[in-house]
Amino acid sequence: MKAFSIKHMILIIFSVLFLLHQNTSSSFVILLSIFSCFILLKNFEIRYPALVGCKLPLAFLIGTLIYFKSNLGSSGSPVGLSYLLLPLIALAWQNSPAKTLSDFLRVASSIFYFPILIAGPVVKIQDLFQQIYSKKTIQPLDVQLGLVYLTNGVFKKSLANFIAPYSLNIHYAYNSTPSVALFYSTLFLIAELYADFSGYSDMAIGISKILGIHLPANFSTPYFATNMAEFWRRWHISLGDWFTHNFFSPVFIYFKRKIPHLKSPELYLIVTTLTMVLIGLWHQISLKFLAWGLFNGLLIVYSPLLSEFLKNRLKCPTFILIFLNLGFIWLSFLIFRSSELHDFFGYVTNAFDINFLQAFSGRYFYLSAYLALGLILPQVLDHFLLKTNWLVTSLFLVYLTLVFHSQPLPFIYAQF
Amino acid sequence: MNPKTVIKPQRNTPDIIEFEATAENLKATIQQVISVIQACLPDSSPIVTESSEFRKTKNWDSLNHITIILELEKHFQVQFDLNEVANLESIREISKTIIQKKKLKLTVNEPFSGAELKVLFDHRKYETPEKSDVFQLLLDNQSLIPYADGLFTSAGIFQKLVLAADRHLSAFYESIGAEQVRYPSLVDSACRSTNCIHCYINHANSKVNQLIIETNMGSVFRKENLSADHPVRWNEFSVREIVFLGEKSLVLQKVELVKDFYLKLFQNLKLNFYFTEASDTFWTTENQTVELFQKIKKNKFEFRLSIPYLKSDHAAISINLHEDYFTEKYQVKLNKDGSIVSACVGLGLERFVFAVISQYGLNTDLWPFELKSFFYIETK
Repeated sequence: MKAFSIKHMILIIFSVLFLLHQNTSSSFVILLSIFSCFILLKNFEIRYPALVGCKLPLAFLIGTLIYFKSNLGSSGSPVGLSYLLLPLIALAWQNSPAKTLSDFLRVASSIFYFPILIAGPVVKIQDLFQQIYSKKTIQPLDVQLGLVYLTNGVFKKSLANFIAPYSLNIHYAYNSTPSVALFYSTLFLIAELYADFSGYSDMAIGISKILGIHLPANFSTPYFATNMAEFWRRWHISLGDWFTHNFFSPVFIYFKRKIPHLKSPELYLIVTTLTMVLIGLWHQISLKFLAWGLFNGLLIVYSPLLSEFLKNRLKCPTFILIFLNLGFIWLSFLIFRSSELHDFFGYVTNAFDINFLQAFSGRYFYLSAYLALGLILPQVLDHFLLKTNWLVTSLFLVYLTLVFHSQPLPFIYAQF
Repeated sequence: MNPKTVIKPQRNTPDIIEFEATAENLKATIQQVISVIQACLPDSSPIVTESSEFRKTKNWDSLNHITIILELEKHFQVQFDLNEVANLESIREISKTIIQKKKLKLTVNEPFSGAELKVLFDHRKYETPEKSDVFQLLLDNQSLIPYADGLFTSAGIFQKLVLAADRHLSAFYESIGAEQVRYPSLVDSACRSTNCIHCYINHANSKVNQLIIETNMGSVFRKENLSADHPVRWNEFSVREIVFLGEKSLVLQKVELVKDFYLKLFQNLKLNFYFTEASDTFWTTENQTVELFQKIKKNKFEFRLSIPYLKSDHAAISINLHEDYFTEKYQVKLNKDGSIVSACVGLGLERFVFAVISQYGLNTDLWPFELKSFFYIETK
């Protein structure tokens, strides 16, 4: 028992130090998590069944999330809040903590599992709990795979930092920036976001893999998707899964039971849009993300129909569908990255003024090349990574990291 | 607790019935689930198998998932709770959830559930010292090491106690004339097995003088113990078994002897237990179960030991009187006139030791003297 507890204590202490290192509001997160641990404990449920029955913990957790996401919390949303709260909400909603979790230290070490706190992936606490708690020893194969993931993650982050100066800066005054620069910078945004975010996920997955813990995949070459529904199945997969399981499916089934004459396609449109709006508001409760959610919800429903039409009726080759979809992704990210909704329109109108055609002249060839590199290289690497020799791949990735080395920047997704 | 009060079992039916029902149904349920899902997916989808999963199988997307769930509800006449939906990801999880949901119905409709089970002897009267989650303690001190779902490596104190118990019991069985035998585990298609079936196969088409007594120790498999309120799933455990085959009066006499031995032993060991009628049938293949059940009804008894921290109990010993079911099936005859029957008594060694530990804890120094000497633990 002692050895086990020590292992968990170490994990918790490291996680707490890790959070404290971020900023002071993190200490609130820590208190919150400890409180949640108690809520989830078996004894608590046995002693105060009425409290659990009335879904108080669920209301508390959702309330906390809304509080911080709506800018009511003056210091902004603490690092790790979302990735801490989402799994807890799922657990409280599924109402089965007592069956799964019975030991405070163990629960705490799963909830606090530090590699995922910054930017996911969103995990199921039950899965993490079982893995931390199993006596699986460190396996050489896991370490090799973990190293590949880790070095790939580090490389992607350094690539993201390398691209960042070219990418859209929210402080750009779009009125005074040349349209070519604006046009390119919005395109570089696509490359940067993937490299940055999937880089983080890969690091978390890699570190966990080395420790013998399997985390769910978060990306699957999303920019090769041919429509937005497919894109969302390949981008931030764990978050999509979370919302599918805990919101989309239950709500859909609820409506289907209550209003049986409502047809599935209509309901699909409504619930999908609702889900995407909710995912939008999960980032931040604001008009911008409301628009972002609506935009993505509608695209998820209609872009598959469009790509089906283009493919079957007009016999469009797949690469055109991919390009078209990149356009949708581009618009979606542009809303995402604008500080306000009207900025988005500012970017689009100014990027496409009469001068933007210069972007395709030979003078800007190097930018196009960088762009292609930033967009394609990480995805291609992701695709072939696990099919190669781990040592060669890791060394190659370390080399690439050094090539693209520039000054460090924080993770974009850490703000959510 | 007043020992004279007759206490009904905590549940109307012992848990074994529940998982017997589920074990039978699991395969069938999985098959039905697969066919429902296949029907819901478009024609271009791959063939759905037991390992198919939501989102990982082509075309099984979130929209089709809803259709599937609603179809399953219609097909199985169940309604999933909204917060259950998140866990309906794989064929196995779906099947398990359906079975759990249907279980309530099963216990109402099944013919044997109505039978009133009498507690014949109640000995739940001690305030035993251990109250904590001993399963966790065993995992912590590495006496039980999980290998896979419901499968454990036993080590340390747990293994020692299992071996000591077996040593003690096999010595007793030998003293009443049992012959030691060893058989391989026969695992049938439903992944269940029983050891005494070997004895009847062994003596099939032969003539018995008076009485054959065999004792064996082997593994039995109980696939899919879905009993949700019992955290300790033993998909495989060891059973020390004694099998009687012979003239009816002799067999019953011996079974009585064994029963009395355990009654005295458990009282002597200061264990909290009760001896009860049980309505479960015998573990064989599915068709046999039904046949056998109709034939023998209430010829099963159990010693159930308390598990304090769960506020529950589990069966450690089952006594099964098969009457002439197996002797007829395997054409075993008596040399002289008279009716021939069979019976077996099986003690689940891990189940027994687990119950002892959950009542008296892992520190054997604090155990009652009788308990220590039963397990050959030296007293300081």
